[in-house]
Amino acid sequence: MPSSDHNENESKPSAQTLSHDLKTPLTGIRMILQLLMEEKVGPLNEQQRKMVRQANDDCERMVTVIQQRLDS
Amino acid sequence: MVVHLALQRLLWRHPMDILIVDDDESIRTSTSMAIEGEGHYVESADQIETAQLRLKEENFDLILIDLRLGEENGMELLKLVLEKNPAQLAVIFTAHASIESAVRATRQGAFDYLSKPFTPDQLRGVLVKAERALKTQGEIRNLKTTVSELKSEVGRSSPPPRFDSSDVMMQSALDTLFRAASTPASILILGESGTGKSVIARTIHEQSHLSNQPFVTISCPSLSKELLESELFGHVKGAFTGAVKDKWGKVHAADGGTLFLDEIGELPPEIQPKLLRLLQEREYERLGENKLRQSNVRIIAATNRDLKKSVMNGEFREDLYYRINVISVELPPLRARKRDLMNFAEDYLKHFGKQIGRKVEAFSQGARDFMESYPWPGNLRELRNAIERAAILCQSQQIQRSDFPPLDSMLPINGSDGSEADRIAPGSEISLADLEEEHIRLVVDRTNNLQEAARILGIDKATLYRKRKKMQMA
Repeated sequence: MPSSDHNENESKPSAQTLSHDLKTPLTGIRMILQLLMEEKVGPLNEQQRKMVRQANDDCERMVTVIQQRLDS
Repeated sequence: MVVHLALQRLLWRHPMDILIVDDDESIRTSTSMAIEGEGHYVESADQIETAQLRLKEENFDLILIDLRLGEENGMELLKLVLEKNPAQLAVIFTAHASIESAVRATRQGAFDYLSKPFTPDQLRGVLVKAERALKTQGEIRNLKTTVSELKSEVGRSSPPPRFDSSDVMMQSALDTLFRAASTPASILILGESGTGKSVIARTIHEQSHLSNQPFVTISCPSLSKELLESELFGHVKGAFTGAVKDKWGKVHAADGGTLFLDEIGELPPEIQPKLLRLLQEREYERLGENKLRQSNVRIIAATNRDLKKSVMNGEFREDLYYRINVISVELPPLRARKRDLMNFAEDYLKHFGKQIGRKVEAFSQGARDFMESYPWPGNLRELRNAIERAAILCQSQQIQRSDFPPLDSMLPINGSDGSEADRIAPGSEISLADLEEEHIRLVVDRTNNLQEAARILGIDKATLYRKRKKMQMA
């Protein structure tokens, strides 16, 4: 195998590492957004609630994509 | 948070102490927030070494461990934790949704796992499962304690207690106590030493709605002020010389159940405000720690002191007195319960007869006359010991007067009772050795444990043990 291809394969993260590296920060984001929506850190006004809900929806989409691409 | 904690107390829920071990700060922060929102206490660590340091100093009800801690492997920490305590509840955070990694973790002893990215609801589900598991563990511990106590009761030195009385005052006291048993009210039991206060306290607990919860006793005179405070409330490492690790006190052990404070009249003044706070706010702090803890305990207290007098003398706090005195009864001394005396005597005789394998079932008229005329300053405890001795020494099937000790050797310690009996006084015709032996025998008979007896005699426990061995006491 040519050495450049060999090096490229070594530097690609494994699926496990990729899964961990993506899901870890996503866990923090998902937890924080849902705690905000539950108003655990204080009440939200209507506009804030709308924004947090939107961010949460986007976060859930990302979760779905990652689970479909990495876990299947 | 305050309302939630109040609800927990009402429902007798116990906040858990939880440790999160994750190298990601946002997971530590958000998970801590979610956990605290459920009313639990939480600490966090970002690597195995930090986690191990905390685990050496404190016990946690639940540990949440990330499988990948940077370069470290969370399973190593799981292994170390379970080696130290196989019953430790530990939950693994894993980024893998595969069954394989979850099965591997639970096979290694993890209680459960959470797949990233988990939600607050999923985390709460795990917390509820952990609470249930801890409750079950607590129930198993209680059952083991009960079995152990029952085992020792089978071989113990007294028959099952009797709770019916021909004496009006005693029956009235018992009726009041058993009516109060199923309420959360604090109870104060007054009475001379040996009148059965601790037996009654335990029976109240068993008759109450807390019968499946812990019953924890603390003897107030048995320890120094510092050790008593630590014994009651616990301490953290370094709180005082000799505090080499964190310790939970009896208040924590009794949480959700009954705390019996024996001889509360001896509670040092420095500790009284802390007990008052526990009763009023259901809060306490461990010695050396600046963290408020909650504990919901039902208090039963007992004393042979005149607590009202102690309040007037400034030895006992008035506000604490009124807190523990919600229901109070006085158990009459045995000499005031002549009608019950022979019932007790016959119960003890039957019990000891069986224990020593002898057929000794009755008392001669002379023995009866003696028992009914003697004042029994040591009350039931003295009666029990006298009958045990008589059953052993008796040479027929009937206990005779001569099987009881001579009157002049059955005397009170402090001179408060037994005025009808002759007293041993300095100068009476008795050898030093006999005087010492009888004094030791009487003190041991009339105290709850050897530690208390040693304290009264002014010697240490080891010396008391040697003297008793020399006297060939049972």
